[in-house]
Amino acid sequence: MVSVLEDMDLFPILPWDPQHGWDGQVVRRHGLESIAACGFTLAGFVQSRDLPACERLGLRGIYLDEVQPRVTTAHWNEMSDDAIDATVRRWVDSTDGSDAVYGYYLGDEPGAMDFPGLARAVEAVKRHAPAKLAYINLFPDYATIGTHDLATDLSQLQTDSYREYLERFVREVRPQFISWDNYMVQFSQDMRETESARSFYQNLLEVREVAFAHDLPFWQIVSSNQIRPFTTIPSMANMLLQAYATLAAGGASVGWYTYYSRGYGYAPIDGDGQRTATWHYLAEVNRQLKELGPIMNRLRSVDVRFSGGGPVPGLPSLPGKTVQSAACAEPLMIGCFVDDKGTDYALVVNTSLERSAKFRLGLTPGRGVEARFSTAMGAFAAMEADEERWLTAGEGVLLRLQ
Amino acid sequence: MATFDDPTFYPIFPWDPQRGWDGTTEHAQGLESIAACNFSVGGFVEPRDVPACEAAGMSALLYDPGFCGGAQPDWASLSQDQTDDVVRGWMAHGGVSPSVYGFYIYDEPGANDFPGLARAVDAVRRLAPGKLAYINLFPNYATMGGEDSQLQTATFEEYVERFVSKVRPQVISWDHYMPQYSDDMRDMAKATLYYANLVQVREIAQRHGLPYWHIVSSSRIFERSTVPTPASLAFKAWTSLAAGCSSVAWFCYYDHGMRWSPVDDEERRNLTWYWLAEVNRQLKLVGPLLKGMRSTGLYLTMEGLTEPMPAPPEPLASAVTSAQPLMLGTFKDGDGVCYAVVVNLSLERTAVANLDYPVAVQELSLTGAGWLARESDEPLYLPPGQGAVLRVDARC
Repeated sequence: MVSVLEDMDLFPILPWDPQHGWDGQVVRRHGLESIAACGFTLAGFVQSRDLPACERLGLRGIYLDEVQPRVTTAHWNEMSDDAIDATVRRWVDSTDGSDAVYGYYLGDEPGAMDFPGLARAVEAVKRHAPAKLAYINLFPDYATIGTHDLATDLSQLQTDSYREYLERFVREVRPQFISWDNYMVQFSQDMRETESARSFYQNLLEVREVAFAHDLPFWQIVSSNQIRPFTTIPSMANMLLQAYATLAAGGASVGWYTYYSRGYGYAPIDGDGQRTATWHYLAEVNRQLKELGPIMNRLRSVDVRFSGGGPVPGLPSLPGKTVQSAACAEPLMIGCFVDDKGTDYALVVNTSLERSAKFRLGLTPGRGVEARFSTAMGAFAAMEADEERWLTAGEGVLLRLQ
Repeated sequence: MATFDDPTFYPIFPWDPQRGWDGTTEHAQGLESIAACNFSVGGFVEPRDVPACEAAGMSALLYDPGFCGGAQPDWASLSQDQTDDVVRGWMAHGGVSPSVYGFYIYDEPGANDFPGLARAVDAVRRLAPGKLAYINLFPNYATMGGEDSQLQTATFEEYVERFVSKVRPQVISWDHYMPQYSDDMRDMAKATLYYANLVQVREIAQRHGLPYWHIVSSSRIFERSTVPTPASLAFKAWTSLAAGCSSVAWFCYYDHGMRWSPVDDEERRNLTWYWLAEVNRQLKLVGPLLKGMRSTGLYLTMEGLTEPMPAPPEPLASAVTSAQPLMLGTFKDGDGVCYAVVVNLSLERTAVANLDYPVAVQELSLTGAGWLARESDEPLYLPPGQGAVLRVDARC
């Protein structure tokens, strides 16, 4: 049986929302049709009653327990093996083998103390629905750390470092992938506050390192709303950056937090259930992700570098093995990839959220750029070997190298 | 279909002849593509294209390659009778269709061309009532001063004034590509030209009771300039709206060697197409609303410009404040209710505008949800180049 994670034609683009609210009672004016129209490939956290609509719309969904939708990561620890087994079997039975089911929601942002219960839940999903995903999302690297004061809930990770949190999650839970959320593009006021901006990139690189060390794919959740009243709002540029930076690092999915307002400003759907301008920006970014994602699914990430000193200090810089240099006034993020025939690719991202960037890559001698993937055409288009390319703020482009 | 005097119709058109200036070009990305990009007028088309415009829900500006044979046909050598015959021929060959909004007459005339153009406009008025005689003028950075200059007048002011008095046009249309030439408005001298031209044409047009149409750039224009971006396209559309322009046209839709046009030289959509479709969607929503109002003021809060621009008077100046530069266009509807269009002039940073009106303010939803109430202390966030329409609960 082929796992959903091996579906090369599907790049998961996920609205990070329970379709019927965490209590299962919410009725959306903008439901699954709206999510499909916005370019998502997954439908968020759905119930069995949503699956026919998902199938009709070409969406897949992550099933959320309709008996107890407010699943917490802690409650698995309190359950016996038999109770966990019965719960997962009930989920599988209620979804009746629907192809629209991508996976099962187990919880969000666990502390390390929740890992034993989650491990048993993941094992149960693997046993009863071996082709589906056991969905767990982790904290970002700016969550509180420490193993002291656990009783007073001062530590979110419940480990002494973020690296330990990731490593223990992999070792103890044995997940099929690593997912985390990071909203520092918004918190950093469009990357102008250096320390917050650094977290966005470092978190991405650290998860990438741990995931690849354990041969796991990684999924990033980024922000499509204002996140806090004092932060900046979603824009075409900052949503492009969040999407393309995830791809350039080798991420296997992009999730958007949130689709519905739920008290956040400037979400794609506002508090009155109306589309906002963010909806239209996001639809365009998702359209690009949907075109490029299946191409990226077939490539293997081998390196990530930054040019021009990087958007923040301390990130890995050029030269890399394939890309030696980059002529550009703005700092670029360059993800290097290889396909199964050994052809090299570079995904180049303009990390400036303010200015368009004109760039030319310096490759190892004798090599040049052969083609670029056009998300407008959905195909590669030939390029001159030394052709300069423009990228608008936050935008990325996949280049195929000679 | 829309006529020229339809107050609810907002022309958004690609500044391109659909079949080329000589009528021989075939575009794979044709009128369906233009309609999908949210234009309301199909550009310059031939009579045979009018049914396709109608099917796509667009109006048409008729272009006659047989007579024009290029952007600047020879009106000067025609008598009034001969000119009338040309217009009669257009009406007999498709021009009478209600989908025909007007006729392409000329692009970027010098003042010496005005007598011939006056005869053409007069003929359209008499023989095609309700249709537009479309003429587009040079911008304020064209050469001026002598017979060999582009304007053939001493100043831009004289050029437009003479155009109005001699040609008696139905609209004043001009093109301005300085957002591209100015490296996304970072060259302040060139950026100033853009704002100054907008302010100046608005003043002249309002003085003569004429609508004014703006052509802006949706391509790279020349090799060294920057490319169209979501921010710069939004900026051009929203500054035109805030100034009270009655139409926005995009130069150009097809490549023409300029690159980064919405459709490339191999007839493929590129990313500019998608950025532009979103900006046109907003124009289509906001344009008809503002067109039904009177533009009562146009102000800038911006430092570093190379010539003075109108700054907002009190109490408006203290009512709308931001760390980013803003354009403020004020409007009044038929009932005397006041409106403000606020545009973030930064192409780099999101603006946080504080609104300190003493009365309730509503914001127009840009997704068709109508007027949305705003909390009095709620800041207005505008991404780079983006605008918003506010309704102020007061007579003005």
